[in-house]
Amino acid sequence: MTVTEPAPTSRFVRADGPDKVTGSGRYAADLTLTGVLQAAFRYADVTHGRITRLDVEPARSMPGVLAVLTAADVPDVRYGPFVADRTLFARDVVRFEGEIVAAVAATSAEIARRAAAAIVVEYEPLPIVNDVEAALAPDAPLVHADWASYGAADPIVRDRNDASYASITKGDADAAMADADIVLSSRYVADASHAAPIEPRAVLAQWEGDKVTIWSSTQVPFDARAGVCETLGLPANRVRIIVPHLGGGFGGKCGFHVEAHVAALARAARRPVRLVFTRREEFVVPDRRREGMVVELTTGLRGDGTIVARTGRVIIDNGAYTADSGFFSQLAAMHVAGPYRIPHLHVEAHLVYTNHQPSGSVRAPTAPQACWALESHTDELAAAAGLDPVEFRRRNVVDTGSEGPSGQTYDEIGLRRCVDAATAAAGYGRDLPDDEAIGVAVGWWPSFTAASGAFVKIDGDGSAQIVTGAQECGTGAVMTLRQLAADELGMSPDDFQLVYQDTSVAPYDMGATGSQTLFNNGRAVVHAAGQVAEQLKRLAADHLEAAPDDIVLADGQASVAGTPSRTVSIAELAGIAAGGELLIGHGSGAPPSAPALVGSSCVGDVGMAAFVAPQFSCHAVHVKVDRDTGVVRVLGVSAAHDSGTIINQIGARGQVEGGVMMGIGQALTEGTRYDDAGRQRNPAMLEYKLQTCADAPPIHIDFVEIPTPDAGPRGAKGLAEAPNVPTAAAIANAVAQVVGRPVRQLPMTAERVWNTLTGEDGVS
Amino acid sequence: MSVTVAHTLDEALELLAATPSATVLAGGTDLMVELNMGHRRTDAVVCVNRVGELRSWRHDPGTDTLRIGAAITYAELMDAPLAGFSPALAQAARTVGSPQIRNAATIGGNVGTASPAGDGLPVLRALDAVVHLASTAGTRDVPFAEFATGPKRTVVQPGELITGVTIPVLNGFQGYSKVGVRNAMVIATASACLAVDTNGHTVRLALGSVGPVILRAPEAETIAVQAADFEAGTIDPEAIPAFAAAAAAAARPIDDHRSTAAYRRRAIEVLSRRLLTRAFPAPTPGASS
Ligand SMILES: Cc1cc2nc3c(=O)[nH]c(=O)nc-3n(C[C@H](O)[C@H](O)[C@H](O)COP(=O)(O)OP(=O)(O)OC[C@H]3O[C@@H](n4cnc5c(N)ncnc54)[C@H](O)[C@@H]3O)c2cc1C
Repeated sequence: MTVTEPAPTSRFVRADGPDKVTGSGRYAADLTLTGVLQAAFRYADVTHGRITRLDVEPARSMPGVLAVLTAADVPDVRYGPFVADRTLFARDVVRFEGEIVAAVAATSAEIARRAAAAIVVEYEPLPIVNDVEAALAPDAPLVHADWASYGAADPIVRDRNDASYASITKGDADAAMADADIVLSSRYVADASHAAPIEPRAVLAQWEGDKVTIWSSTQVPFDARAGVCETLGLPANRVRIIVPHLGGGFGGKCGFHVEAHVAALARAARRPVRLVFTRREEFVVPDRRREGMVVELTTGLRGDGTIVARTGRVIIDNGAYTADSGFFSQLAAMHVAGPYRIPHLHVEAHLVYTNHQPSGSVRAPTAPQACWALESHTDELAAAAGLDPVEFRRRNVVDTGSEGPSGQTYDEIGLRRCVDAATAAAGYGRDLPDDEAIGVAVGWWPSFTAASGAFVKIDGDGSAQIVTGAQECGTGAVMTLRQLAADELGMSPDDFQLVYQDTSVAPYDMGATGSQTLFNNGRAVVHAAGQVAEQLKRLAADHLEAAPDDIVLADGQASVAGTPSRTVSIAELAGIAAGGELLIGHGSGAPPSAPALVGSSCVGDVGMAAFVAPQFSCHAVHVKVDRDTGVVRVLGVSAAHDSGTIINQIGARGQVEGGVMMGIGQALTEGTRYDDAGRQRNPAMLEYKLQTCADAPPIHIDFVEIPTPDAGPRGAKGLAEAPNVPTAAAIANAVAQVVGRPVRQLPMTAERVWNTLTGEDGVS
Repeated sequence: MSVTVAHTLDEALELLAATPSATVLAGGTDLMVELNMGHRRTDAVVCVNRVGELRSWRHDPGTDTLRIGAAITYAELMDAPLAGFSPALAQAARTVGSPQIRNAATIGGNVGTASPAGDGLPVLRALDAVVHLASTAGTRDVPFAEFATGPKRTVVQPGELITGVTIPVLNGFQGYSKVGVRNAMVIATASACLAVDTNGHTVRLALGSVGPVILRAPEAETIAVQAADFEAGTIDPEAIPAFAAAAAAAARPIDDHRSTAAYRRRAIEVLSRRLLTRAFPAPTPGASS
């Protein structure tokens, strides 16, 4: 079934919408507390250097300064989810421009900034690692001289500047390649890019005795809490993280960042402390940059265009520290293998330290760049085989029952239907002027399983609450939870208020990350609401003198099946319950387990080679290239997605539109550039060109809804990241058709397109 | 920091005379950014965008010139009646920033900032505009060509105010084009303004973002004048590549984080060729093609 128009029943208005559009919504930077101080950081002055002198006295003695902290003032803890290579404050060595050396709290932001600037730091310069490929050379300078002594998660394979190596092997790729009729190799280089949420992060911390409350603009409050606990040595029940309205994240606010710094300042100053990032800080400091990447691929085909073998090597710029990037190697390897049937495969990826800002999950980490490289390569393969690119994909993509590159066999999947829908909507194959073309790319993305909890309660007056650990970052996913609870209880979504984004109130959830809110927390809410439904049925059964199994909950009423006259309102039952057994449910539905892999072997296996409830997509993008200037305009995008059942049509379409726009930006105008020292040259909105509304093309969306056995509630898979995966790739394939060959760098700026047109791109 | 809002020209000039180090604030779309980024400091601000004399414009039918007050905004320039007097200035105005920016940003501020990428400036340069300056000591007129002395450097003296610019109202094609990487809020990688004076038989080409100040391309202009039939509105098509090449040769671009010199020069060639083709859409009858 293909649904293109939102079903009327699923049109509901987000509860946070009016607050946001009228400006009355309060974000972290809007909050204040009596006696609040303002924080500022002193950042590294060099991108790689050993601190030889650090004198904070000039800051400490400044009137209005109440606290100055350095590494000496906090516990000596190295942390990091995959490799424990990071400290709150630089210890001895600084490794990138945004590294925090000291923190100041003062009576005004101006004083805090002046004090931070007055701190004296001297460095002995260390060799700068600025080139991710050179960093893998045996004699390359080390970003972490002590790398071998760091703790790391079990599966992580490390060697010097290589912080995480992964490979996926199946069959015998070399032998199969030797026998192939056509062998083609390509190389692609993607620049780093940014999540660029509209709200720069803000944190406010206040201690009461030995407990701290931290208001933070984070996508992952429980992760942030864990970071505070680990670095400051506190138990989880003494740290409370509250997230006010979040002004977007796109992954940029995942992970634990500066909450501990602000909490430590507040403790030292004995006053509440507030930190608000500037746009420049938002660009330079967080360990959440979308990783730059070098991709080399070789694929062997039979004469008929069937893929027989692939080898690939991905080099990922990790930056100076390993945030959640530890899983990037295996995920990138999966994405250069792609959703194709490949009998013989060997792909490997290295996550390499440099003196750049650390990389971390930005919407579909590794996927848009890897997909861009793979799908450009795929169009080259199609040309080599003399096949139309769409026909080539139809012959080679995975389908229901086929075995994927890592040895996973897929249940019901809709990739081919995505290809059909997107190409049909785009009018693929129609005649176009010489300077226009339609490019097509396919993508995939896993659904992430994780523990997740929620409470559901109905109070004595019949009004209901969902208390959930889930975090809303603007996707509407948390809002959609109300619909699930309402359906379970025969109530309306409007009957539910949400209590969320507070770690001391709600059970654990991974946060607004990995497209997992509906997938995992949805299950928890259904589970919790189901418990309340059972209670209601028992109460109703008593009241109506029927068997609990015969009670039906619908339209706010409990009635006896087949006898609609015997009915009692849920509100009345809630009133009865208020005098005795309260209506409370709690849920943390068991996550589906990982599918089996057969016939493949993985090095550095962090569980990313087996895709739970995989999501598939195909984008077909119509572009126009100005051959004289290289300027590319996107005229239309057709996006088809298999994300299982779509529960909230409006929210889902918003995710696809946003993902496509982000993909266009990555494809054409964004991209971080570095100077010789590894500093960002364009950490500002003037120089880092995001797409604007005026650039948005018409976006046609098809959801290919098919039953998925291992999916989340009602057959829903994730959706928030998937739309960001194939857009840049599809644009690239359209541009390559007009230009005559691929642009081998991302973003495909006007200048790079022009260089390719004129043969001055330095690649043949 | 003191901020004073002037309501008359005399009041503004008195304030500037009293505090020659004061900074003039018009729409603030350049100044506030510079202050916020700490690129500029000031102790005193004189706000001029409510000064009636600067908020007005006047067409002089005798000389057929248009005097535009310094505090006229881009939003005003892009619509009737002003757009009718200078189509190129209206086109340039439409490419500036976003609606919010165009409602605040003034032509005087664009001139005052004197960025090589200022969108209004190639038009003023092509039209040989005159910049009017005033202080309590008197007024002076400076040809736009002599106004900027380098990137963001001008001849404006402490205590002096830009009161407006005067441009001729020309009979003939005017066009402004820029190469930028997206459809809104984009700083020009390279820009060009072409203005044809059908009565005076001149073709003027000014180039932005490809030099320390806005440049003219005199050799290209000569090529165009020689190849054009102003009465018929036609041009020898063979002259068009030569015109574009001469325009590119006149550019003095640099490599920076936004673009390379080579690409900017190329962009000037393309923009110039397209503007000239738009100005003279039909080839000269009988000319070889
Ligand atoms: C988001 C954004 C987008 C932008 N996009 C564009 C764009 O696309 N194209 C473009 O060209 N510009 C752009 N700009 C820059 C800016 O809007 C223009 O340069 C504008 O014309 C400046 O006018 P203003 O009135 O705001 O000047 P202000 O900021 O008030 O002043 C600018 C400078 O001129 C001086 N000044 C102003 N008026 C006078 C006067 N009467 N006498 C003497 N000195 C004076 C000020 O002291 C200051 O140095 C953009 C700016 C922003 C913030």
